[in-house]
Amino acid sequence: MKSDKEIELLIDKYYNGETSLEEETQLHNFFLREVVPDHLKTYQDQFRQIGMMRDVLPEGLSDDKLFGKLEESLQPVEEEKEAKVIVMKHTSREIWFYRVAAAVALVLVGYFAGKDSVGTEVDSLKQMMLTEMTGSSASGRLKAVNYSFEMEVVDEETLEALQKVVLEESNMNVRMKGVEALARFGNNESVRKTLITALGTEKEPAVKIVLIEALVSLKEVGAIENLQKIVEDDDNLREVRDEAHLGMFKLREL
Amino acid sequence: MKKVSIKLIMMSLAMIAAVQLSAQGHKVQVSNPSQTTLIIKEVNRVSVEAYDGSEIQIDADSKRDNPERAEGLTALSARGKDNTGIGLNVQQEGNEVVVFQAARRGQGKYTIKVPRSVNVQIEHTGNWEGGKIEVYGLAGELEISGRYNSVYMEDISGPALVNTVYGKVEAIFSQLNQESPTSLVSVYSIVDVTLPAGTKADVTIKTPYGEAFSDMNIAFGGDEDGMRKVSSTIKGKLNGGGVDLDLKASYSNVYLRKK
Repeated sequence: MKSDKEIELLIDKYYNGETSLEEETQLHNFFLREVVPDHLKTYQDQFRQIGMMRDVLPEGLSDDKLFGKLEESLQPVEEEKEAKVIVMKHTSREIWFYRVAAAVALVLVGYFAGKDSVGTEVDSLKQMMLTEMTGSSASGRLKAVNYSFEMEVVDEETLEALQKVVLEESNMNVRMKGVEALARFGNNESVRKTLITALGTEKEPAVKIVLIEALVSLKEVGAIENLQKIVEDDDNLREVRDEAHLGMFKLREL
Repeated sequence: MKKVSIKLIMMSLAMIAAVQLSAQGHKVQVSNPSQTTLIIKEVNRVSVEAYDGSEIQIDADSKRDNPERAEGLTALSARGKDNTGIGLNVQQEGNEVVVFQAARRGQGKYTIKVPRSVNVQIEHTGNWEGGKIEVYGLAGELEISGRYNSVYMEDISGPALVNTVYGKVEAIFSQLNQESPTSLVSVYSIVDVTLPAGTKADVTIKTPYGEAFSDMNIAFGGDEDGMRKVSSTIKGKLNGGGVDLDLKASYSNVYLRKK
């Protein structure tokens, strides 16, 4: 992997229009990583998109090619005029049966293939997690939350368990970790809703700060209302209100 | 009416039986220490010390008598009755012994001696009067939550889940329990941790507005050419890695030292 310095050089090169395709791919890959140094974050969105654009238009753009494509797409229309009209015969019930069977088989294959690829390892990890999460030991429950960090993909049940931690867990250390764990799956709608709800109900300043950080990094505009409430509530610590204020600004302006 | 008074007498008898009163302080028999949890709520300036015994002994270093005018009267408290004579309410239910402060005390300190393997939970949500929370020599699970309190722990082995808002968290471990994770958090003050040099752990240090210092050999994983992340989170392995150890000081520094 390239170091920060090399990446910075590449970025300069890119803006001078001197990068090769391979170098642009390197940039793209670098910014695809989850952890990008703070000072390079501003470039992240841009370089992530560059790779995607190339995927869509692999051979580059030129007017000739574009018009060529246009003409290509127009030609079949003329041909169609001459094309024969073929009457679709009504299919028998039998064929419908096969169609349905094929659909069911597809769903089943998809389900089991998916299940297999997630693997039994994750399953047992999940089981351990769900068992520990109901224990009476707070440290045990923290361990359960930590298990989720080893999972790249999670199912509904795991997400629900984590959401429960964020909203109901009595120990603050565990709850805080729960917020961090849940925020990893922030592209899920219900996860974001839970984080917003928690921001409204959470009492501990340290957890509030982690919630604000999470919602801001998820660019969750829906959190603004609750942030406003925190800013206006004098009972909150000054730092928490500052953090909320900053969060509102970031969500509105950036 | 009669039924109610009988019930009341039965209840107070049960309470007296469960909680043996003694002249010097207060004692609670514990039959199975490692299955027992001592829960201490809102007790100001409390020190919990492990010893080789089988009962929980609670002592106050200053005895405050009720004012003369109060003779013949019972102290009233929204928190509950002082059933120990030292300003505390102590109750035993199943595997839990719950101690909370019934009377307002301006000064003095409570010392609670417990069998080494008892699990201890300490919670203080009040104002500045909470003072320091101290723990010595415990091998059971520790759960401490403070607000204005500093937390000082010595010769403990964890797991420990500690959080406080304004106070310091200082912990000297005799060893680090590898079964379950340990997490120490202070919002405004420092977190200072001492571990035996050979301790195995996956350590995460977070100091969003502060700095982290250590003399331990932390192996930073991730990138091949030794690149370190430019961020306030430090992740690394101590002695090849082990149990999760989370340290966080939101607005101050974290110190991690070896013994």
